[in-house]
Amino acid sequence: MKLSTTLHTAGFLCAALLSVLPSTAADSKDKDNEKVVPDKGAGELDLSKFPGKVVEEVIVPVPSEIFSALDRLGNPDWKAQITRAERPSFTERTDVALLLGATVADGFIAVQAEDKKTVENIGKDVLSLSTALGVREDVLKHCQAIDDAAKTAKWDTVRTELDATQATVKAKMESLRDGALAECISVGGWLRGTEVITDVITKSFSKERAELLYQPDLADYFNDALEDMLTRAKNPAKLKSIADGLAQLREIMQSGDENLSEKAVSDMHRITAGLVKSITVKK
Amino acid sequence: MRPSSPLPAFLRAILMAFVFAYAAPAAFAVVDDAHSTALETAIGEVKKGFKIRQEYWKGKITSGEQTMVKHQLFKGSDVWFWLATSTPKVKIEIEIYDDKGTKVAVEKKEVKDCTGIKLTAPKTGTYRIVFKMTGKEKAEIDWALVYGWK
Repeated sequence: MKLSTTLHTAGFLCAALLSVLPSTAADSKDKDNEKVVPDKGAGELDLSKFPGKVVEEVIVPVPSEIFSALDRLGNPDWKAQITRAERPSFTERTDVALLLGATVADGFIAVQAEDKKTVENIGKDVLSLSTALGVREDVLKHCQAIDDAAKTAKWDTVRTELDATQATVKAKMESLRDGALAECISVGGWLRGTEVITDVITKSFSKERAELLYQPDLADYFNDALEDMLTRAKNPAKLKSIADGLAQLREIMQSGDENLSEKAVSDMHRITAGLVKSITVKK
Repeated sequence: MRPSSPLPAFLRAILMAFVFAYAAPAAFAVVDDAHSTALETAIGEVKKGFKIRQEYWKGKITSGEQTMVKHQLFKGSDVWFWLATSTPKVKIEIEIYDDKGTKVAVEKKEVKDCTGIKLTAPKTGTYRIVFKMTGKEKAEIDWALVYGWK
């Protein structure tokens, strides 16, 4: 179910209304916010013997969460990370979904670089790929918003709309009982993001920066998701190579606990660059 | 079940619209009572710059049963989780553990039918959000988990 345009518009109008109501619920929530109680943390949980239900393998962060963390890396040369090649036209839906994820990640990189033209082009690519997946109408408003925000350099809005685009496509895929395709979008984005981040960190290595790459449970989760798809895929070779690459990444991440070495980061870059090439280039 | 919000329904709808307008233009959401309660509680933090993820997690648990949700977080990220229910008279307990199973220092905020828990991730890795809801014996309790970060 979508939040209606009316409701969305009402939100903006209500922001003004709420600001003038003397004792609105927002205020009462603010009062509640004052009751924040610190808990210094003490105690252990035996993860191998958890007695209850585990809801989700692992929640995959949205791209803007990752890029918010990257803001703490200082100001690397994001422009050097922009690659603009023609997007191949795939017919296999898993290929399109992987490419869509990688393209959204490119959008975030272009935002980091504050490159208006590239962001606008990526908006067009996202629309074209979404059309190929049959969800053009669902993402059209996001793509228009990306275009508008890029023209006026509203980078936060571009990030929000890129997140929303990915979430909308994934939600649509899941509503069509095609959750596997939704995972492909996440995998494509995560691999392209990791390719770029490993390159940025390699160029100015520190253990603290490298720690951002410590995501073994995510690599594991994506690997499992792709392995599940292999039996049903029309062309499993590409998915198999990506699943194998993810298994290698997980091994590297776990090799030094959260202390990833320069070599480990460099190896991760080599692996992700190869996988991203397989996603973005038609053989 | 009706939401146990202290607010009139129209004002609650307005507040939800406000959250999404603030946090995620053109957001989509399936609105359920527990979810809307979590969003209402989140408003104060949204005003402080927290972005709310559109997707959220929900389910039903038996009273007293523990549930775990795993989440990848990045060192230094400030994250609020809001766990809410629309089932009346439920006690909510929620903790966060790191990937070694050690409880992490947090701040908590309890309001009616919702508990918020905030951490600043001390390191990058997978964190476990573990919660328990206790109501009438063997009662099925609905829950919704929303999070926001900055």
